[in-house]
Amino acid sequence: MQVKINGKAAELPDNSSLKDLLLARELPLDVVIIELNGEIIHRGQWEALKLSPDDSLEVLRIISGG
Amino acid sequence: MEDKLEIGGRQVESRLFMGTGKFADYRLIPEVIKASKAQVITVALRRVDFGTPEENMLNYLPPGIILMPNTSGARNAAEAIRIARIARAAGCGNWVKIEVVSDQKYLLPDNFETVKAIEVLVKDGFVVLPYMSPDLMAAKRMAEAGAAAIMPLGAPIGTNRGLKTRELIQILISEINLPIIVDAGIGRPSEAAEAMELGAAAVLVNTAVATADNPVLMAEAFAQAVEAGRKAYLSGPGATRHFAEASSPLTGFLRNERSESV
Amino acid sequence: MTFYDEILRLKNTDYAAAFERVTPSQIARILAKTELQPQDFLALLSPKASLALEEMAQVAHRLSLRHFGRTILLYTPLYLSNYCVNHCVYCGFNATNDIQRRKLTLAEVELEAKAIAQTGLQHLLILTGESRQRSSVSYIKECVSVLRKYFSSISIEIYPLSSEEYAELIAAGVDGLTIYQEVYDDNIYGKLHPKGPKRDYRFRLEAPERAGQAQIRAINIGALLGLGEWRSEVFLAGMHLAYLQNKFPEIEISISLPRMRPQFGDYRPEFPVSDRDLVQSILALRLFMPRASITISTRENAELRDNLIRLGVTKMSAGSSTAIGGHTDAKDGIGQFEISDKRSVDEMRKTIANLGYKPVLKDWHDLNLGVKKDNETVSIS
Ligand code: SF4
Repeated sequence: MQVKINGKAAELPDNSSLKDLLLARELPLDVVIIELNGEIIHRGQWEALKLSPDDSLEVLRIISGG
Repeated sequence: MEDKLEIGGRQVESRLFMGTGKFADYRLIPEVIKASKAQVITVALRRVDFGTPEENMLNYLPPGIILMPNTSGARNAAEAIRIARIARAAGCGNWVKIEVVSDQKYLLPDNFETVKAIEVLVKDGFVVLPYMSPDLMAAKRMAEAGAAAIMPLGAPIGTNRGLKTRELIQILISEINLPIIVDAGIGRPSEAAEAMELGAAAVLVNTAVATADNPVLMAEAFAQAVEAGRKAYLSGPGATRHFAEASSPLTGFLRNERSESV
Repeated sequence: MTFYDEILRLKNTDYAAAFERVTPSQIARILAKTELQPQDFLALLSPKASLALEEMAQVAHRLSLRHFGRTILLYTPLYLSNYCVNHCVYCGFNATNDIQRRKLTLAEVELEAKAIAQTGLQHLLILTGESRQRSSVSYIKECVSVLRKYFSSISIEIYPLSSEEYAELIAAGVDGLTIYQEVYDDNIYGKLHPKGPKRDYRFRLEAPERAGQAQIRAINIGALLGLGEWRSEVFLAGMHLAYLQNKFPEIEISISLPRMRPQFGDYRPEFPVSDRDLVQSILALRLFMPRASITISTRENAELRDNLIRLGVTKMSAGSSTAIGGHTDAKDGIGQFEISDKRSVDEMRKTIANLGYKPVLKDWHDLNLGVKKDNETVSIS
């Protein structure tokens, strides 16, 4: 299925969970924050939450800034 | 001497707030924070770049500090609100520096959108510190909206040009019943001291330290300057006279005043 | 939040201790500051600051020049009625005083208006004693509709009104409110106002705010010097002014410091205020509120008034009579208080000009008024 991640189209196996995606992309789980279709998804829900086609994901992290 | 700065129910001793942007290496950050004695540290939020692995900058921050995520990148109130909420969800606490920049040429903050964002975020339980162009009416609106402090710019961001807005900041200090924190523009410790002497509650510095040849030493210099300026302010500087000498006496007529019988 | 809450807070001020702490170098520092805080203002009212009166005067003079130029706005009072239900012990119109009571008919109002307008004055202050029955809001409205043909600014100095009533009068052509708290110390206030609606300290204190909500153009407040300890009274009046400026930045604010004068009846001020004290009050106010107008009335004598011009006073009454019909009736009735500076408007204008200042007869023109004035003498510049 196709979803959008940080504005770019991406292919994922059907039935992927949010956590599957993060692991596949080798993202440090404790650092990122996820917004799914404009809503913040808290860490505890990542495993259970299955993605659907055309979902739009924002994957963000804290960086340095002034 | 007890002289703590209280914002949003929390007290800090250091009146130097540090930004963490533009450092050549994250490893400098803990040393800089230590040298600066800063207790309020700003961070930002960005999309993850999948191509390049990045270190987790939070690992470089000492425990016990107050994290203040900024909303940089926001061009309007809605975006600032969204960024603030994400940052809170990421575990940054409830402080937020509102920074709405809709002007990409000078990078000046948009006071109108900032007021709107404050209104929403205060209701949402945030401690809101707006970065703003020093305008009295805008600052009043921000105070009314529930801002915890006001952060006027000293000069356009990143310019290191010092307290160009001195007169306007002075007015905010006199008129606004909230801590005034000079944010942006301060390039040298002497300018930070100047802001503190004026009565600013704190200064937020980033570029000037991050771009120094020796950022750790510069952080220490800023810490001392801020402290010196604060002490000077508290001790009440000696008067500089506005006029060389009294011209013709204006109260001479009082000299031979008889005891009044009304 | 109203100024009443502020007053409750300020009540705890320990004046003696605050004055005790003042040092000469602190005064020097305050004089060099650009914006004064309330504690600076208080320091300037201290006995120690009176030693620096000339320095204060120099700064006040410069500030006044910067914000007002060399100008003095002239206005005159017009007493409409002396009926009064209050018992203010210091006032000649007090309900217990056996004086002839009267109120002007509309025809008489017009005659007075013509007489005053002839002097060139454009700013008028209309006054009544406090009697909602005899000088009702609708009576005042009728008077204003006559007067607005002759004057560019009409202020009222009457009993305190509700916000709606102020709005009504503003719609009728009133643009300014003058209301003195008389004395800010509420204990003394209670003693001096034993009977009548004026006993309500709070309703009077909040009147300027109600007028502000009704979007009046100008507000003039004040304390009657002599009724209470002047240093604290001037401090509280100044704080009231600052509060109003802060709450209504669009409103032109002024303060008056009328000193008790002898009048019919036998009240003698309990806290006499010397010329020196009056000057210190004016200077401290000018330094604390550089953009506020300061008014001095004809209660003060000519010589003192002339000397005060350079110290920060920006508004003066002229050609005053405090009696009903006093502008047309040669044999003055009994006035509310005695006039000390009896110079005519013409003489005042000349004196002010001789001092190097410009007497201003009109500093405002309502663009929405839409009323053609019969005797428009001053052009808008
Ligand atoms: S001061 Fe006013 S209210 Fe009091 S007695 Fe005189 S006229 Fe009446």
